[in-house]
Amino acid sequence: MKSMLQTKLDTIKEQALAQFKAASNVKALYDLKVQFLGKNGSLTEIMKEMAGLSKEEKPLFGKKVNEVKGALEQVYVEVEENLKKAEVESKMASEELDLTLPSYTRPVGTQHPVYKVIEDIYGIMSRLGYSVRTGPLIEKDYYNFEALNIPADHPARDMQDTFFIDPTHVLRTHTSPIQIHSLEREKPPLRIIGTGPVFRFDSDISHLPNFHQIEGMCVDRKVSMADLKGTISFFVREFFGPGLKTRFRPSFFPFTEPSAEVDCSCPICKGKGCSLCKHTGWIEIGGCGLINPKVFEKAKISYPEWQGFAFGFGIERMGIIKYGIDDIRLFPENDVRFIRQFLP
Amino acid sequence: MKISLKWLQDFVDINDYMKKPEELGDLLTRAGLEVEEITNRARDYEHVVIGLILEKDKHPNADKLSLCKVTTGDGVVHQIVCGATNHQANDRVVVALPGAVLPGNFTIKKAKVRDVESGGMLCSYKELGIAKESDGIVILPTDAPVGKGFAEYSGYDDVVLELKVTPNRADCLSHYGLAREIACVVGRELKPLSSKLVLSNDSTKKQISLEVSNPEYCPRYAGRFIKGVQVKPSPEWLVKRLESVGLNAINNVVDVTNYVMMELGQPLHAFDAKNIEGGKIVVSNAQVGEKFKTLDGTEVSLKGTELMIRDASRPVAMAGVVGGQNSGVSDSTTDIFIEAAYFLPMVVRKASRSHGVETDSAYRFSRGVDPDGTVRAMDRAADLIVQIAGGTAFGDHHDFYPHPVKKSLVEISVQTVSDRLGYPADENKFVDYMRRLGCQVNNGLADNKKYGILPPTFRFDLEQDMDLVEEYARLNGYENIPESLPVFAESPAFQDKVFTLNMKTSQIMRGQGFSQAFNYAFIGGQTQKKFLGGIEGLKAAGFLASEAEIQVLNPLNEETDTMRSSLSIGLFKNLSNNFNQGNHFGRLYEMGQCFYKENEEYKETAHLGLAAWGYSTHLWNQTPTHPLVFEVKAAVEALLKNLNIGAYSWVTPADRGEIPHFLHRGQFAHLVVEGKKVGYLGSLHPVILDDHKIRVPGAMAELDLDQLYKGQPRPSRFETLSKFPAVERDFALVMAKSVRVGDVVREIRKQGGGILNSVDIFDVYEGEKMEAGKKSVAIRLTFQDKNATLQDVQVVEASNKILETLKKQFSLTMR
Repeated sequence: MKSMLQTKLDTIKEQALAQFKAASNVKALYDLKVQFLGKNGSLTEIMKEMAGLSKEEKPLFGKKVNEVKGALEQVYVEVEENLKKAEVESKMASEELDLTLPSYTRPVGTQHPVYKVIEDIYGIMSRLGYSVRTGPLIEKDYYNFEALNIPADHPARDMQDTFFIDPTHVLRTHTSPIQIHSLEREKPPLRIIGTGPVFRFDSDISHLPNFHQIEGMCVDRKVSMADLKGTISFFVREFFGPGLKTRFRPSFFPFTEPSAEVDCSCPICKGKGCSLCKHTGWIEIGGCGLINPKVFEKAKISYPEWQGFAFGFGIERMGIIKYGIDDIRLFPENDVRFIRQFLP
Repeated sequence: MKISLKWLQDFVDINDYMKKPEELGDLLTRAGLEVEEITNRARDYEHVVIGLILEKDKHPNADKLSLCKVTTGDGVVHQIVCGATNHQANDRVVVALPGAVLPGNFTIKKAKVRDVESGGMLCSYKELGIAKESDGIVILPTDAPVGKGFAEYSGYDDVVLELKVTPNRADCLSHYGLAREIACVVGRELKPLSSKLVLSNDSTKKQISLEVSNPEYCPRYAGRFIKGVQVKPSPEWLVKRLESVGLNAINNVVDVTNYVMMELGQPLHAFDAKNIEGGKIVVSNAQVGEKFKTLDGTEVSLKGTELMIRDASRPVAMAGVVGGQNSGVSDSTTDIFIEAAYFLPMVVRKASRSHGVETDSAYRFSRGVDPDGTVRAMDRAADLIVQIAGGTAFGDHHDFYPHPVKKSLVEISVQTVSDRLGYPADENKFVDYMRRLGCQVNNGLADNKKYGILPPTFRFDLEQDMDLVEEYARLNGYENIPESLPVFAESPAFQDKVFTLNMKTSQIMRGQGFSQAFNYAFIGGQTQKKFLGGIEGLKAAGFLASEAEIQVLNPLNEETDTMRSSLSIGLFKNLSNNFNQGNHFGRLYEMGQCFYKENEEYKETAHLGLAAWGYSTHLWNQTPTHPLVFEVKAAVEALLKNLNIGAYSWVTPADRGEIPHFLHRGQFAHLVVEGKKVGYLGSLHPVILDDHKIRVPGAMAELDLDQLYKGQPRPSRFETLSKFPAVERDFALVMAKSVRVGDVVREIRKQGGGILNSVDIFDVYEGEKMEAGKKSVAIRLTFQDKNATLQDVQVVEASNKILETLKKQFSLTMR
């Protein structure tokens, strides 16, 4: 026959199980846990009532109470876990975001195409062992002209319309004076590139009075036109992309002999003919040649013990060709719509 | 320079290229004479023929048009609608038939004009590209052969090359010279110049005497007298040839001198002999301050360095540059004196440049005219003048040439050619090329391996072995130079430090959202003055600048007349232009040189400039409220951090006169790095924003990069990470508004000792709950020890020490 206590215990278990399972949230469940399993909860109460039981019955009933406690605690954990899961789900449902809304635009800076071209060229040439030199923008006439075999009253000066600061100082018309500074200060062998702004008295739809050049010079024991051609072809392929051809045409620069103009096959139309290359398939990109012994003589470098080549490119022109920019006047305008097009 | 192919034909057979001038152009370009443009008149006038108007009727549907029946001799009658009014039946006209493409890319097609079929066009000189304006269509003489091509009939069947001749190739500045070059490149025969000149027994020298007092400037001077010429317009063939190379006809004598210059490259001058006073020509330097009126009436004041041709009393020509008004050939001229000379190139160039008188003559003399061709050219002109203008050419001509110009022998071995070009040169080819160039080839030199090459006098550019190496490469084709990469035989070189640091700075700026700009290094001096309000603001901020700016002697305009002292002017212009282009947000930086004078020397200093305007697109539900200048400040501080510069502070100048004019008086600070001012930061002045209609906030900064780069690169140093907990303490400090929080923070750091880890400002309140003139600043101090857990008492002690000092120093209170 069931004792009263036993019936009571069964009732508590039944009630507790039913209520645990019906709990609507973690807080309500916890309150139920206190109610049934807490310090002053139902099970504690029933333990107190065990006082009236016999010596033999006490441990038996105690064991039963503990069994119920264990069972209830297990159910509690299960229910609690389910409730927590449901609560997080519903919290997340209420926190739903429309991720198609525009995001915060973190402004990203871009490089001016002029400097991007310079850094790209530097990257390529440094792999061939060239390192960078710079020089002043206000140059002595000597470095800009005389030392480069362009004497005063020589028609070669007409090739470069010049801004003067005073009769003996000019705004450098090319980066070539950097070569002379290097020849004077350093000892060959040398592989350098010189770069920066240059100035010509010229301003129209295809010329800026202040633009940029990059200049390369290699001085070594034995340097030939073939070396020059190989170097430039390597550079052109690396800079504009593989498959481009280069063409050398005889030309004249007072500081090189033999001199050549360098054309590359048009990267836009791949040589088929387009408006950029004026339907010739070729684009002029710069000048080059073997360093004129007269330049070595002025810089007090012994020739033919030392020989060399030099080349120069217009940076804006390289940018125009590489990116298909249709107006050189965009370069100094610094319109952010222009600059932000040149990604790293 | 324009070159007529028909004219070239006089000296070299290029018949095979007449139909394919592009090939000749390509050949010349590859030989170093760049052909920039080819004008092919013969091709322009394909399908343009001479026609006869058989009938002329009114157009049935248009009063102003006529309907013509035209035959072009092939039996077909063309019905052509015409808008001109100057033609009649039986007129001979120029007909462009369908298929013709007239100058200006105007294609002629069969078309309906007001519902009437029209099969061609009757042309005006304007439509043919011959005249700029024309009055009606061309009516040809009655003997014009119907059916003949217009090109052939009119002589407009020439091909003209536009050649870019480099300054070293003066020998190619004439038809004869270019023919000689083509003969050399292609390996053809150069035809000789024929002459029918008959000289009388009279003496030139008796008519005009000659004295050359400066033979250094005038190594050769020749002259011939011609009596009894009749000055009149030139015959058509001569006019057409001059026209084809872009010269206008003047009169037969002047035209011949121009013709010979274009033919042989030797500039000539014809004097009216009756105007040579005293019958005497003197070649001497100008007198300083002497006045001289050129042919076109311009008066120039002579400097003394010019070489002048004078008569007994006055200058009559500026040697090689321009003739004088007092002695030129006019319609009434009967006797002439033809001058042919070799003047020193630099003398002519200097005179031409310094007076701004640029003539075809000066262009050729300053590049170098063949000193051996003087007399030949003079007599070519005499020959043509006698043929065209009549008269008698006198004998016994002048030829002052005391020291004939001699070229120097150039020694060269074929091995040198091979070495410099990087491929084996062929000895037979070498000798052949040198001979084709007109060089004398001697191989009897002591050193058997070397040739002695004597270049011709017309090649001013052949002076040293490398010049001959180029000639070999050119004639053998640059395309035959192989490609190789030079072996790297050098030890690693140093790298320009500033270039490397600039790349780093550039990267940091881009990381801060700033994009790179580039502005001209010259700006308007007045604009700069107005913008900065003088250089005090620059100097106060630690920049190197000079009161006297560096000016450009010959600026393009007043906006490029001064080398910039600051980058801010250019960047502000960019900011303003961008805003007005509709770019309402932007961040720009520029790294560039600025200029100043020091002890009369020109100096350059590298600056970094920053400009910001407007706010970036924030989230859809947020509006930014922070002052924009703090974004610029953040970018500057990011740079300092990345350059490992810790000791810096921002200082507001006590004297507001130290603030450049374009910046906000109340939002400005100097940057002090390691005790030295290195730049400024500020918001744009409200008036300047308003003046430029900029409707968003703007802020700028400029820094002295040379200063920031001192001691760079500064490598990073590792510091042990603390394993012990940090303690935070918050304080609300009430202080006068005028107190600079930066000063307070600096003091806190000074007093905080080794355990003070960081100082953060998390609130600044200046609202109505505050006493007037006060603000409350909420500060969080974080304490941490590297070696132990902090004791409460340590934190209290440190905090108290800080607060006590602050109270004294800034009269602040705690809230």
